[in-house]
Amino acid sequence: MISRLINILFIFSISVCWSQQNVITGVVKDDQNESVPSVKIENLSNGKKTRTSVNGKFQILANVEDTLRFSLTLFETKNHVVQNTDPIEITMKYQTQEVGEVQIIKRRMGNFDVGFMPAIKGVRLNNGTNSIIELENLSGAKSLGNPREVFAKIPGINIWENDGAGI
Amino acid sequence: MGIGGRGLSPKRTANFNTRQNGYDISADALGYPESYYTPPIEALESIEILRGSAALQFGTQFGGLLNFVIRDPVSHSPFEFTTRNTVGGYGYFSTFNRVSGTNKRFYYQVYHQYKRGDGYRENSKFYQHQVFAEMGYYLNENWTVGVEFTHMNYLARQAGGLTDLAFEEDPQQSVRDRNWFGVDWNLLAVTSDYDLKKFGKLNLRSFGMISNRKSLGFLGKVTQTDQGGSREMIYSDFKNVGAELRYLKKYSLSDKVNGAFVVGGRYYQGRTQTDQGRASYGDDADFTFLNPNDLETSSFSYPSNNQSLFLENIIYFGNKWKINAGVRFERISSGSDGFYKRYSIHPINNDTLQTYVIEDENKIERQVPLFGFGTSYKVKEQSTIYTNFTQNYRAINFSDIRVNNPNIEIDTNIRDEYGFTAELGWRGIEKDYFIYDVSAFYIFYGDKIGLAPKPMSIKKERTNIGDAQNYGLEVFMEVDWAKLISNSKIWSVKTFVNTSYIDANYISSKEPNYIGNKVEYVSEIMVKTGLNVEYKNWSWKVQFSYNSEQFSDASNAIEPSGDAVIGVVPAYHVFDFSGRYKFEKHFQIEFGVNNFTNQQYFTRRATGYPGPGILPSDGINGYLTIQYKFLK
Repeated sequence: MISRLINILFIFSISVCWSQQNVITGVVKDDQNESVPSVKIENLSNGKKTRTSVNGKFQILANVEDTLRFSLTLFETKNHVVQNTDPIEITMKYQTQEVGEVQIIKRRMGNFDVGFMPAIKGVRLNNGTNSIIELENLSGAKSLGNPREVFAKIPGINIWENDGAGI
Repeated sequence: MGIGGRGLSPKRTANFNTRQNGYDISADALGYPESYYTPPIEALESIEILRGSAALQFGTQFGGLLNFVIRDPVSHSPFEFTTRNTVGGYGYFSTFNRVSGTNKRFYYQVYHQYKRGDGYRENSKFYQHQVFAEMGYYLNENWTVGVEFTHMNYLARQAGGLTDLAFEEDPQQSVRDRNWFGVDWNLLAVTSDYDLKKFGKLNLRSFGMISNRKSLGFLGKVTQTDQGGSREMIYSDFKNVGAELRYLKKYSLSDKVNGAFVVGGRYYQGRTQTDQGRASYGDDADFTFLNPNDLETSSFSYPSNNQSLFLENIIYFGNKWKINAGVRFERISSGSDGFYKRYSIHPINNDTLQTYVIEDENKIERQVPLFGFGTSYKVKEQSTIYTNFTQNYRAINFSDIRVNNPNIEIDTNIRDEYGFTAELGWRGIEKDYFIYDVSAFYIFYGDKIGLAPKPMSIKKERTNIGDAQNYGLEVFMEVDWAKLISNSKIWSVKTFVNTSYIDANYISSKEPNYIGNKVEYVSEIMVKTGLNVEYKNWSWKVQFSYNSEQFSDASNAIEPSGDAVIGVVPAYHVFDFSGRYKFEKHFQIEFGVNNFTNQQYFTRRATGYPGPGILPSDGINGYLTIQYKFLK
């Protein structure tokens, strides 16, 4: 009877031990050293979940040796094993970089209203000579759809102008 | 719209595989690739252009892919309203109104554009309606389905062509006052995007179309006077359905070797019905045949059926070196079935002596494999040198095999065109202040179809005139001077230069006189250059465009023919000015003057519709747009 009680106490004390987890704090940044908000963090060992704040910070219950999983669309998922209770800094890589050529569209275009397409886009592969015209800031007769202005930055385009007003 | 690249004909953008949001919008992808429908530029997010190498994943055409991407519904609000209203010279008015939004898993957008104008020339009044509606639903994190409906209709009075003399005299005049053109376009597309995460991406687009185009009027030579009476009408009816399935998967072979492949298939079925005969008297847009059950000229139906499979792969060795290769297998079946009539006419009193009804039916089936490969090397972070080779193919168009113009006949042995595109280029961006794109290309164009004088006749013949080659150099550069010098955020001063040198000539021909001749409608030198200045919320742009002279036929006739159908298209240049002011909230104004030096020029001598003859381009014309945006 007594030994059974000791057994129960022992098991109980172990479980209390397990639940005595530390609050691990940290920050998530991207490879440009900018903080990344809204990253999903999951402690694979105890199932706790949280997300990073607007400035990339987070806190989560975890033990030493627990594995934390960091994930967010566009980024490569990263696993981190907690080494000690110090604040941690996680750097996440853009997923698109797994295949070198692909970069963020913005960086391919500068402010030029025209740019090149990434080699992998959606369900397409783009090879060879290609261009993309971004129309948001391109000035010109948009209502009239003047192709001289719309395609101004695409080399080698010949235009027949027999249909007025873009029809 | 009519644009062509790399020395390919701009006619109705037919040398591009033209799409909207990734699905086909042309009348018949293979048999009638002409685009009567172009989405409103005001509704677009971007335009994607992939040159000859697009043949493997899209259409097999030489021109490549031209994809109009419609702006997505606003994603962070349930309601956004945009209105853009424009007035311009020559009675131009247009209004574009759009609502869009996203609510939880549901997104939607509807826009309508109406435009009308009196036209630069006499008898060139028009109006147009465009409607687009889309909605979609995120079934779960990885799966999105959507449906898109597009409608367009327009009616335009056609001023017809002019002779060289009449053009010199007054390009705004018109000698045709009862020619009309009407188009009605209806597209439905259903899309499904499935992101299988580690296992790739799956996309299905299915689309269908019911559309028609009709031209009505007097199509005789411009030198002939329209004597009144009944008019000639060509009425084409297009119906097609298709589906395209694509699967893309990225993979990793080792730390250094990564890649991605796309595999897909396409099924396409279309039917075009083209009738030609005498139609209504008078001068209004009354598109009715006089004898719909006994057409005077011709009636043909063109079934087309096409299946294709494609596979393309790219593989990266480290961060710098990439190799790509792909294949496409195409099965094309096209045919024509119908009749046309021939009349023997009394040479003196023009009475009809005899009418012959000629029944014609043919069906061609062919299997076409296409192959392509290329490689690219990253010289540095934003600078790539690449080369590519892709086979191209262009099936005979319906309009190649049946023409309804009394001036033109068709060679009975006409064949498909084939060839390849090879390119070598260098492109990149230097620290956000310099963008450059330099490429050299070579297109081999076998069995090119064109128009030649028919031997022993005053008529012209459409035939495979021979093999042609187009090669050239294309250069685009733009510099942001303010960024280069001062990194200013208030000012921006940019200049761009876009030049191309294109030589396109016939290397073999059954008409020996054509060998070495230039391909028609190719400007050897084209230059577009511009200055763009932005200061705070203002933006101004001046642009200069130049085209060197072009021949309008394979015989390279310089002297214009009396009917203005053949002869040189002289070099021309045009200046355009445009500007914009963005208010802090809600409003934006846009304004501009096109062709502000009022050059009188033309880009085309039409052989038939919508001429025949010289089709003058617009002179000076200004416009003002006011945009208002409301976001909930």
